[in-house]
Amino acid sequence: MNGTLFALDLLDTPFGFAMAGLIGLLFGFFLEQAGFGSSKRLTGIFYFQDMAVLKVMFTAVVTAMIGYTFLTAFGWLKPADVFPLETFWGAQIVGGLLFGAGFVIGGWCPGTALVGVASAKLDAIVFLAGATIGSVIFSEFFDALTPLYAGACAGAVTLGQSLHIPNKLLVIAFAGMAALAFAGSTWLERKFGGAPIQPAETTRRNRWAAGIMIAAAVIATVMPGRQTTPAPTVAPDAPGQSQGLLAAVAEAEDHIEPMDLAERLMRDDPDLTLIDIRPESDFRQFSIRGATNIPLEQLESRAASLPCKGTLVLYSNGTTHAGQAWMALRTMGFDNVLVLTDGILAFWRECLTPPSLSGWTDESAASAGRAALDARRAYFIEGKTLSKPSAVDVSMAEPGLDRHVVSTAWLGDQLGKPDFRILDVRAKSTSYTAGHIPGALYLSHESVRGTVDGVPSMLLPGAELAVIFGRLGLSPQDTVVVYSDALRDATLVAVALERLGHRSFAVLNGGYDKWITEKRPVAKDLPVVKAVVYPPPVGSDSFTVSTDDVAGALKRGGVKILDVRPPDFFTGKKSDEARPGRIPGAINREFVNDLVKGKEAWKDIPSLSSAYDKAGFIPDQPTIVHCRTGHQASQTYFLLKHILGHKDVRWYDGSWSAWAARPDLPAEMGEAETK
Amino acid sequence: MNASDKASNGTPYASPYLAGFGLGLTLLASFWFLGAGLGASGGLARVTAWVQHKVAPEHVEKSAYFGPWFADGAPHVLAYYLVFMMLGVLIGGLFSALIARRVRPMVERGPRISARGRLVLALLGGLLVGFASRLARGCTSGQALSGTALLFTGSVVFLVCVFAGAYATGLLVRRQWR
Repeated sequence: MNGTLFALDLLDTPFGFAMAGLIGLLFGFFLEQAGFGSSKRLTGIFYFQDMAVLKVMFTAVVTAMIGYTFLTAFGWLKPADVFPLETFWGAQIVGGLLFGAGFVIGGWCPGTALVGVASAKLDAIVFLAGATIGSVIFSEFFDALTPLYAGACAGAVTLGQSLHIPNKLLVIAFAGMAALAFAGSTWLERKFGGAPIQPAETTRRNRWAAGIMIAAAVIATVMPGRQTTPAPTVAPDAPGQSQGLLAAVAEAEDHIEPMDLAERLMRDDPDLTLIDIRPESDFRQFSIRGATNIPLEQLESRAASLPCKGTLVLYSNGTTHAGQAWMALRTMGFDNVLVLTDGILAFWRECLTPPSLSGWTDESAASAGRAALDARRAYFIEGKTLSKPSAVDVSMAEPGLDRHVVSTAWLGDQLGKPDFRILDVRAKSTSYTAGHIPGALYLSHESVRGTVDGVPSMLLPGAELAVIFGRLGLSPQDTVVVYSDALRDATLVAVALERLGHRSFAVLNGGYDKWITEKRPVAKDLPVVKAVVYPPPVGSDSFTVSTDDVAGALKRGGVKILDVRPPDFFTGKKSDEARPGRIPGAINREFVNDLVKGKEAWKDIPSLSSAYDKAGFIPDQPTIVHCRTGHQASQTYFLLKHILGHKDVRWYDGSWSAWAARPDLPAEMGEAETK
Repeated sequence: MNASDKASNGTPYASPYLAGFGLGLTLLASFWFLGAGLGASGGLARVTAWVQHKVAPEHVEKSAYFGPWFADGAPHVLAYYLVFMMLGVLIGGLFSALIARRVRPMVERGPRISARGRLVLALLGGLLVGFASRLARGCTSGQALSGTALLFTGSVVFLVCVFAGAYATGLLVRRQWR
């Protein structure tokens, strides 16, 4: 099992209801078997005549206690996955005394009365009617009762914590007490209830059972790795004085800064409870690690499950909704609530965005900040389900094409499917507004490139790409198909998605022209999208190589360099850059050679495969692909890696323009030697 | 009547130790699968709120305790796991009572009290228990049994106070039973 229904937040779902119903069946069965469908038997304990209640309760408590100890010791059940019950001294003492009085006067408690009803006991039905009236009275006078109900809270403390002794000792103590209580009960029943002396064999059997019970308790508690406390949320004894709302606002004690929150989360502060009050869909897309989702409109109804101790931090996208929630909780008696300043967007901006984007200039501060940033990003982003979704890959397979390439026919069948996005990346937005594939979003392929570290036309860093794709409302779970009127535009944006670690993406073979030629539907509307936070990737990608990387590889050898520019540029006849020529030893195969003549579609895989084989690019051959700026090379890179399945293909984004600008690096001119 | 484990009618009750063991395993299963203990009064409160809402919807929606269960966007008041556990208890109890031939309409009482007197006390006791269960955030199932098994301080305190309250009051109503 992957966590309890409570931990998975599935308790109040049809499956949770079915499970709770099943547990209830057993619960009711055993209560009735114990004879608890009789009020006379239930109240016998209060006159020392029938001690069944004590025997049953003690046996059940000790059984569950020992079982729970075993389950947690084996790691089959995490204490944090079990709903914690908090201590409210006043409410539980007063409530307990009143309950006890009601129990002996009415003859039932709620669970047993249900069984009494099932056994057709009229007094049980009347008792339950009384209980509903009592519940209504409580609800009607709740305002006046709140100080008692919510006051004197000690958090979810265990008895061991309260008494400062290990809980494991208490497990053994409970087993021991149970054994003594059973013996005492039997004696009391004989003395006050007129029970016959039980046969010696029964006594012997009971002693054996008691011995096994105590032994089990001892074994359970000495098991290694036991976590003694179920998710403690204890705070040091703070005075229960709640400050005035206005005073709290004035002193800005109601906010927590993103960096403070990040720091407390990363050190796993047990006193901290983080609540995401945005809608569930937003929460699923990206949330702060460690947060629980309670949408704003459910907050009041679920407030009872929030801890009254420690720090409760609320966040939404900005501040407004969290402020509302803060006010609601304060009026309900929670004086431990803080709002994350400017919400998750600020958290993302301040805690997870690289320094270059935050405008840091001081180098030493930047490098120290960089290390801290990397740690935060590793904690909050890496390992998130978003970056490596466990869900079965959306099947994009179709005959003859790899899953990263799709045909117009296939795409036509997918229109309107949820979690499915189409990106139109043609250069001019006017092409898009004049007509596009229905549902397609527009993103000029030029907007994923820019000057990076002084080199023009470089694919932007992952963090910036995340912002761009987030603004399109794209989430990591979406399947994305990219099209343009030139295949290389689509592959450039696909490579941007690859840099983000996006799971499911493909380019449309044939592009928009093929779509139009086939007279497929066209739309002119502008789809409405909602910007989201696309989680930025951690670190750089694994397939882009820098100029220094290429120079190093050239020195070491063993790597083939594939130059996909037109032959005139390869030989140096033509040049737009600092100097003409090519990287020494490079092999030329112009990128258009891979396409069907006059079309923006790849040739069939077998012929491409044999062409590259002949040129020496077998699937195991380490290869670096480049062109002038990286744009055309993205098409060849995409082909080799995602269609022909080459294992070690790198993309030299800087390409000849970056190489040519470095006078220290060698260059070759003229026709390539034929070997 | 003596204290032997014999019902006034039908087959004898199960051994309290065996029944308690079964109950304990049920509770353990509840922890393991649901991640929460057993409960009875929580479901009852939901049903109560639902009924009261049928009678006086606007009033309930404004109330501070039941009200949030009817807020916009909140799930249906009965869409709560303990409501279904309560149904389970009724059915499980009925099944057990049927196979043990213990289903018999009656007002259970001692020899020295009228049926009407017993029902008045049952109503009064129910009222106290219904109120106290809300105040203490659970009843003998949710707090005393489940919480004590997890060694939560408040639950153990509640359990001790239940017995204190019951023994203190028990003598006053002895006539009802014995």
